[in-house]
Amino acid sequence: MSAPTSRTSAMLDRVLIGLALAIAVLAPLVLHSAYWLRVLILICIFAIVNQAWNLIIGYAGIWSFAQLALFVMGGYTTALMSLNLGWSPWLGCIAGAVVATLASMVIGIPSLRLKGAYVFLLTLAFHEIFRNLFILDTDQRFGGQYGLQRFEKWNFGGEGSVEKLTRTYYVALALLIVASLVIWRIIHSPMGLAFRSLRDSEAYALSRGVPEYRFKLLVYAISAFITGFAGAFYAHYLGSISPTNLDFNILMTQMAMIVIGGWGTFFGPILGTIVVKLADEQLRDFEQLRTLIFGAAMVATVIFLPKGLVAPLAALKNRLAAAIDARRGDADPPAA
Amino acid sequence: MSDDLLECRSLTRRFGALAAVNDLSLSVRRGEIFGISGPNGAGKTTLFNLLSGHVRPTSGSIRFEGREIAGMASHRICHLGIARTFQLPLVFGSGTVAENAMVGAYFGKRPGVAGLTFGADAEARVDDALRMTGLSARRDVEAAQLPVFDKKRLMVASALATQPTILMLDEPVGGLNHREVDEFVALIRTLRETGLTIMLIEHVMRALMPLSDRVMIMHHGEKLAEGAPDEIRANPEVIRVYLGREAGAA
Ligand SMILES: Nc1ncnc2c1ncn2[C@@H]1O[C@H](COP(=O)(O)OP(=O)(O)OP(=O)(O)O)[C@@H](O)[C@H]1O
Ligand SMILES: [Mg+2]
Repeated sequence: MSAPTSRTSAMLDRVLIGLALAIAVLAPLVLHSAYWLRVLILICIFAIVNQAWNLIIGYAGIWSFAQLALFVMGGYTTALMSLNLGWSPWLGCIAGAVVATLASMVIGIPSLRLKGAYVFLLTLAFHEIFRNLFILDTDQRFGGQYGLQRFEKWNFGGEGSVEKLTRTYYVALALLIVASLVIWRIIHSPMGLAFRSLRDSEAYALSRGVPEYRFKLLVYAISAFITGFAGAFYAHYLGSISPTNLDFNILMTQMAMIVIGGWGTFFGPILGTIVVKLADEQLRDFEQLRTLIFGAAMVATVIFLPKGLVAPLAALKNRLAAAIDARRGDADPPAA
Repeated sequence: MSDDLLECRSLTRRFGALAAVNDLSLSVRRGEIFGISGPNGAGKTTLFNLLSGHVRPTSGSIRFEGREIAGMASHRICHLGIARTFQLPLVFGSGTVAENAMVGAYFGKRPGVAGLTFGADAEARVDDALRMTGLSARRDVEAAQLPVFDKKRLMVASALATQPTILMLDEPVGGLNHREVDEFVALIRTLRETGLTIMLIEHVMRALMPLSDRVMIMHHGEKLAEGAPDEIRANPEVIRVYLGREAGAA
């Protein structure tokens, strides 16, 4: 009974992913505006950050709120390398990823013995310490409140701003696809099984031979590497990085993305990033009120759609698959 | 002497003023079913927690195959060949039945780092464990959705998938109906025929007595009596402290 349904459903998955990719690839041709391209580029970058965040929070159940700090750390690393040593942006992205990974060990190791809310508090403290470190940077090594500017911006060729942004968008989209494939692979590997089983029950996973600390540090490292890389990419896109990237409303918006999209699901964070970012653009006139709006939307989601916006969409898809199976069954009863 | 697979010496675990396990010594022989019973709060589960590394002993020693394992981390004890089930059904809830068994099959004997694929060996261990416990038809069901009987069988399946030398079952038939109890008893018999050594905590006498080669009765964290099932049934001290009250279950 369930086998043919899941096969049709898997086929539908492929069709939908293909469709989404086609839309993503064709979007610049239709939208052909610098404004929309900038929105799309940010969607790609934030979607990467949220995929990596979801890996640690959603799949591994580790309430790490150091995500933005690691993101910004990637940005500062490449900015410093670029300004002081003249490193190329791509090299800086690798450096940003490595520095964020090392930093994640500094957070990960003390949080190994902590559970749930305590991990949240520890990592949030890290975020805050890090933010203050930059703001209170009196000798201006990190540019103080204004951060670092005037380092190399991405240049993938092209004439005029639309053409240039289009190319940057395709690079960002490619990075999102690569990051998603990597995360997909991890989730469906023994690593993913270790993360999920530890999340559901540490006692169970331990008693079946899963080395808890090793896998917790591993998920911190993987998530931080991807996040630091994305942060560096972001810095070279804007050509600046500053402590304002760590503001509370940004953390809230980022969190709204994964909660509204659906954490612990693979496509949730991507969907959430798109929905929230588009809403964010539409609600620009509300300025700081947007944080409140997203906060309320997050609460509403948690209450009414605890698995996020992807849940009803997945249900719809399954119904469609069932309908297809039923029609096939009518047309061709002896089909196995 | 060489038949002793597991040996505890003066094992003690205190929770504050309470000695949940108190100066307990015991040895389990290779291939036997070692039954454990006793009143509520006697320290039976705590004993398992000590053996499986979930709780550290306050003092005393635990030797498994000649190696000291007291205080060792749970996952390492699992790698050495000790697997357990839990009194309250504990599973990897969002995982499927097959994924639950896979955790044991893949990580149960693996001290090294994880690869990217599961491999045919682990898949085969999952299939074997599910077939043995009668769960093959349910392999794609989410574990959290299973009824208690299946959850209990699944704990056995994921334990078996680790290819243990000793299997510790904490009240495997508690809360089950008669038919389910009989099925579980049959399963445990089949398992011992494969050469597995089993430690079995059970209040249900009609499961414990016929299965066990030897039975230990615990009381206040100490050993009240130990011997063949018939000796235990006839032991006046055991009857006074425990069996008398549990007559209904016997
Ligand atoms: N983690 C703990 N912290 C404090 N006290 C504990 C802890 N675990 C067990 N105890 C106490 O130790 C004693 C023994 O408990 P244990 O669960 O080992 O008994 P048991 O023989 O398994 O009982 P039951 O037949 O009810 O399962 C009890 O008094 C219990 O309250
Ligand atoms: Mg108990």
